[in-house]
Amino acid sequence: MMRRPLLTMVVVAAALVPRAAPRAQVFSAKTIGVRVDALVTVNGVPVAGLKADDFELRDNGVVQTVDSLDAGDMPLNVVLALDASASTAGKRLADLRTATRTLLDDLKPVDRAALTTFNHAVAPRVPLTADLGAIRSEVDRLTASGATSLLEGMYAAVVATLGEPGRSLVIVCTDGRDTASWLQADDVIEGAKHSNAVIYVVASAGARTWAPLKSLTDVTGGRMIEIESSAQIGAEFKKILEDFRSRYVLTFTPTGVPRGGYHRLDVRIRRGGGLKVTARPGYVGESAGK
Amino acid sequence: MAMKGSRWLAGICVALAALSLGVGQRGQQPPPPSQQPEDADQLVAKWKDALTTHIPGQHDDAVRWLGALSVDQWKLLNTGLKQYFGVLGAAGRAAMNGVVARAAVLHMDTARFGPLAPASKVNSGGWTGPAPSLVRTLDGESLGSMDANWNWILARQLIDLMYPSPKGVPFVAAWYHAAAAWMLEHGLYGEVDAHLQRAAAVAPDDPRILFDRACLAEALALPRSQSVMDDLRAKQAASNRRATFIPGQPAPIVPANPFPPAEQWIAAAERGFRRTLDIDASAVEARVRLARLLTLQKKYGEASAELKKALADDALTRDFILAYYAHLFAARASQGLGRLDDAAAQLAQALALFPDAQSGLMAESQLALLRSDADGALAPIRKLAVVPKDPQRRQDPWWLYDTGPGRQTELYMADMRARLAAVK
Repeated sequence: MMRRPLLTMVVVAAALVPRAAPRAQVFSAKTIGVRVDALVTVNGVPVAGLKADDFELRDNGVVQTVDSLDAGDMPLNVVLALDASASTAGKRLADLRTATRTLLDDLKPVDRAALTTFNHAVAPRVPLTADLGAIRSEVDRLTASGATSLLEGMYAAVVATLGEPGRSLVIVCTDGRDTASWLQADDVIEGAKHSNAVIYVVASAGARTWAPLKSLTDVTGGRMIEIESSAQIGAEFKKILEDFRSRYVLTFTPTGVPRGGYHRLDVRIRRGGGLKVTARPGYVGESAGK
Repeated sequence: MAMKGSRWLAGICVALAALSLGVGQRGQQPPPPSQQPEDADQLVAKWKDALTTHIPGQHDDAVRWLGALSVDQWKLLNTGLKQYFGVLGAAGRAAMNGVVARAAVLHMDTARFGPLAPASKVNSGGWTGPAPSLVRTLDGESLGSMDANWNWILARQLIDLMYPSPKGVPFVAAWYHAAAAWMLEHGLYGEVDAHLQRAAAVAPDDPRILFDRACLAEALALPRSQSVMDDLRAKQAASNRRATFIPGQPAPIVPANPFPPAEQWIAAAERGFRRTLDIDASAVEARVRLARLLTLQKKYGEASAELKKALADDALTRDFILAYYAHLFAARASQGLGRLDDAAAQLAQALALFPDAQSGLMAESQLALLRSDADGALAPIRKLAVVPKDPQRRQDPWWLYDTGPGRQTELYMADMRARLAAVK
């Protein structure tokens, strides 16, 4: 059976022929590009107007040529992974419902969304769809019960983005640390390395101090946001969407590096005094023949 | 294959919360307070009637009568029983064994079926000793403290009256084991800790008790327990006060290290399972659980060897849940050794037993991802989309794992009751 390539490796159209041809000894003849979402900020404020030449990108230390640069106007896949465990009962869940509805209202017609909820049971409720009404209906039906399979909920959300066109944003909202998953944090981190999705976590209560959440967001170039009250979820969802739309999407064809294994990425701005780049620190390259 | 775990998981310690509110499983209306005896002698007389009429394991009138007593009446009974057993002891202690064994079962059943008898209030007379304050929890958060159940404390005290000693009496170890299983099934870690400390004193080398203690240590190492400890630590730091009780730790707490980390519990559990196996090499569940602990410590080769032995045991052909654990853990061990094909084969066998189990499906997906197989990673997740959304209708043995022997409570209760008749 043919295997679908993972999203970390994006097949690039012929029009995007790399300026520097891949070297035969380390890469096959297939033209494959890697996509990286990068947020550039100064004092926390996103910076617009940058061009491909402004970026310096290294793959395993080897400088790469940025083939293309898009600035936030690509369609989005927004995958929501929402905690519906017992501890969210009452105001937390009510605030989460309201925030989710507002977030869906802020999506563009070209965008798609998906919904996964979790208590100890992970429920992928709505796959990626432009029919946001289906998600609204499911959100209205949410009830709180059970323990928290946070890691498996996150994992399912990340996997749901594999092979999907467009940019993928996973938004996780939780008030506690994992209490029920079989998968461990390292398993999910490994999974996230295979995906192009950027993970944002909105964490309240006990989730704020749970170290694996920070690791999981960092490995995708995302961010963990700690909140004091569930009343802040709506505002944070809005900021996340703005944040994600203001990112640059860099595509490059790995050159001069072996194809498989984990690749360390380093993205900077040339002559970028004071500019901070937030991007995934690496990706898993497909071995030849996959 | 009935799954009781989903009931338990409906709230990690909802049982605790319910007990603390005094909403036990009372099936019928108790007698009105005016009909209840009012002095200690009357209460002891009624108690003796209850002892005679109670059918072990049944939620009958005897249990309902005990469950309907007020705290003041419990206190009177506590005082009356102290006198009664003093007299009985003087008359001939050997005659006491049958009585205290039946009484232990009566109070066990009252604790199981009746409302909470708050130990700190009942024990003001002092006979049944100090009671730990327990932490109520919900999904990894602490919700405050609650009392231990006086019925358990009294029952253990009664067992101690056995002549010449409870040590070596087959009923005693079976009683402790059955009670521990029930407590673990309901997530009553604080209660079971005190219970197993006493059990270890009267049956130190009983493999069932060793296994129970190891299971408790293992459960306390799991994220759901560690989450509570983190929460308590944070609340303690915020209030600059010491908590009164930590599951698995006798009060007072050692200030330097009040909440042992997972690694310490894992080490304790590993020692416990190894000791269990030293005494009873056929304790296959101890072997399976030991193997999981070894995988956590990345000792994959040793884990794999233990699981190979376990999977060759006939017991696994009858115990599907244990067989599922063995295959799931064997997959983890194989994955750690880089034998991905072996891992996939083990997961296939696990999922053949429980096709909708989330733990197996997640493991299958993650394994496919390691092999850069996106379709293989997606398929198990898509399967989760078509299984029932209601967790009560989902079956995953992993959700039962922290109950340890609690998944077979009724089996152990039946064994204990069968041994009761032999106590003279």
